[in-house]
Amino acid sequence: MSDTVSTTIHPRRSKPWETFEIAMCHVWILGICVVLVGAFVVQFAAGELPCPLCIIQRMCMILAALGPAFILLQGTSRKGYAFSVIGSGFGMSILAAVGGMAVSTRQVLLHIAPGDPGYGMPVFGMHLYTWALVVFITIIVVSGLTILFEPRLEIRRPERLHWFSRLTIILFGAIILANMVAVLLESGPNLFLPDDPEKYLGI
Amino acid sequence: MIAAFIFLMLFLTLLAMHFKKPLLTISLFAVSLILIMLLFSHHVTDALDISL
Repeated sequence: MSDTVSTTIHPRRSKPWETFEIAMCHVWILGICVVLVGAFVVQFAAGELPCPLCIIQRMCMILAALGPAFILLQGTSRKGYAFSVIGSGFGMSILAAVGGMAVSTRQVLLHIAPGDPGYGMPVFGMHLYTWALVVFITIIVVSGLTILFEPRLEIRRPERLHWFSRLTIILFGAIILANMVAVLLESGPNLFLPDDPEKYLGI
Repeated sequence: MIAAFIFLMLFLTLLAMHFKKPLLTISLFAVSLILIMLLFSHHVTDALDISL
């Protein structure tokens, strides 16, 4: 009887599904890393300084990628933690994406008037803040679908993290620190970033 | 400086995930999200200097 109840509440997850889910967490974090590196390329190679709203969108993207990182690093829910790890991870991502969507929508609306050239150069036909809006909507949809089809809200984390997971997390951490340094260079000693940046104030 | 501090908070949130204390991570995440939204509310209320 107890076995039946246990199976009903926590149906056994198939190994391929769990593998797919862990792979998706890696793709998610690395995808955000690629977007952030792309923003760096536009910033340093094309010489376009990011405005405050662009920086806030980068923050929200990092915040959204912290959800999958949480799932990878925490794994099976720990003693004393009342919530499911996967639920918390994707919940974090959805909250961050909603915040980011508000920021990018604001920036899209700033430049929606006919004849407005927009801020910065377009990439593949759309400006970076429009791409950011697409990324945030994708994050919300993927998180919703994952939670919808998730048979069990926990994931078995191995005792030692796989080397590829470790590498992914290190790369992600390095990109966060690189953003911190880039923002320090841009703002210099000022408390807030300039609204229309033209040069690095910290150099 | 404030933006750099928020990036530091995000990095600390990532570091906190290495400890077996999920609530610490959730707390740092919440603080980061609130700080980001406060920064957004600061910039979103700037004068736009446009005339329609």
